[in-house]
Amino acid sequence: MSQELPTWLAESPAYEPPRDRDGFVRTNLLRLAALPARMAQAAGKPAFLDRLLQPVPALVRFAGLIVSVVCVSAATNMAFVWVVFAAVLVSLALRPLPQLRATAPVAALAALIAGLVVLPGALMGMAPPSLVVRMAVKTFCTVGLTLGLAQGVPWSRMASALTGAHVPAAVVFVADAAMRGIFVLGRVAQHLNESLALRSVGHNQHKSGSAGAIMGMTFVRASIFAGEQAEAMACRGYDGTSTAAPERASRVAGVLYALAIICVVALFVWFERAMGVG
Amino acid sequence: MGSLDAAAQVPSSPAVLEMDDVSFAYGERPALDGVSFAVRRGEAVALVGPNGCGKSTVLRLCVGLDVPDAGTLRVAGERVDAQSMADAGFAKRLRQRVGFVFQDSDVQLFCPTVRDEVAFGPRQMGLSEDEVAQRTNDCLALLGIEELADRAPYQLSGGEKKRVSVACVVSLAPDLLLLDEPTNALDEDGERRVVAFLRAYVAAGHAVLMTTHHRDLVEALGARVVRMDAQHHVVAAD
Repeated sequence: MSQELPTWLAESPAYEPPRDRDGFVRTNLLRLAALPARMAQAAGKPAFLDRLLQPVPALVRFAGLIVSVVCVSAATNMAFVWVVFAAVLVSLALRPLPQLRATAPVAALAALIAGLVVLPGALMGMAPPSLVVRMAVKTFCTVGLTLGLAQGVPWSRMASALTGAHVPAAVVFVADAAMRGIFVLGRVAQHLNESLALRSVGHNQHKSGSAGAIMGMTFVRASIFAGEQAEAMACRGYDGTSTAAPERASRVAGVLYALAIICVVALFVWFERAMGVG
Repeated sequence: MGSLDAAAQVPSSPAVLEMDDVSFAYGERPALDGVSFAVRRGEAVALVGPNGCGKSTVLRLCVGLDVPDAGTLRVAGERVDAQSMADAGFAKRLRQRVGFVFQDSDVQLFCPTVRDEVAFGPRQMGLSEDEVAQRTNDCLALLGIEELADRAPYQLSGGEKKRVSVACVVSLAPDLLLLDEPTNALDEDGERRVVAFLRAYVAAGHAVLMTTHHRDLVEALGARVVRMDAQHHVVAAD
């Protein structure tokens, strides 16, 4: 089978792209879509702090996170929040550069958005100006703590911990499948955005349409992925029981970590009672 | 390092792609280590090697999706690095000149119909609707997918999607075509169509750089082989 190319393809005349304001697609969408992949990439080598906390049961660390987030959110005295903020900064500083790159910008962005949400109210005198800083710092702390746990405790360990804590198998499986789905679809969205960027060689008159098409295709892929996974699980004899083995962790490390969390709660209560609103 | 000046082996035509001592890593995981080779106009080059040796990374660098950590990469004589890719005009010219067909067609197709998919690039280039229609019809005919024109891409079979992916990149009229495992998912007829097109494309003076594990495809295209090893080096070129 031999073919002849059309003239426009055989000659490939020189091309000068028209100007277009598509920096948003070229940078922000690509970065956003690449976030799950960057998180997965960064999770490769455990940081010093995570190696130190390795023996602590995942469930205890998760409980510690919840308690810390509640304390930070409920704190009326900013001194406690600044202490946690300092601790979060130290924990970020102890992370290797790829992990730092994957977590610090996300926490900073979340803090910025939280501050911006409160800003109009503060400008109109409906809330004290200090609330802007308070919201931003609290958000940075909670997001930083959550991402720190996500980086330090692989999801497989968390699933095992949930199984060990007698959480219903269906709940563990759904959470497990959802986590996998987020990473798989994150990769799909990243590649679709790359494909859009590669073929956006000129002036795109329908930018929102293209962005919508990417989201639509990601949802289509999500639906196909879920269906195929359900069929594959059925073929492999999935009967509703969790496949995650219960976690084996150090009881002593768990108790020590729990004591540290109790100290955090005590500090929170002391700041609230002794120092009042500040 | 295991680098090799493959360009010296085809001295007659100018290089459309030159890699010189290029290294790249994903975070702390190395993907390429001192890779050097060239692709000249009018030739097809097949990158072969074990899984994970960095073949797909080479293609991603060539189209500017990633940039080298070290070494020099030139496409049509112009250096591709972080600085040049920050220039939107340069990035767009590069991506018109270098077409990239992904290994997984599902992540390449995002338009409602096959016709829209193929017309997406030409429309962006500011061509008239007549020219866009002409290019679209030509590409559909070249890849033998005219009857799929009004179908939704996600409803197609794997082989059909692959041919649509090639068509939507070819409609940009690139000088260099990068193909990541181009015959994966293709049936016999589909493979014959794609090979016939690629032969004509190379014969017209364009260049093809592809990753593949299929010896038959390499032979059918008369492609020069650049072999990579598990340590992310280029170790040999036929």
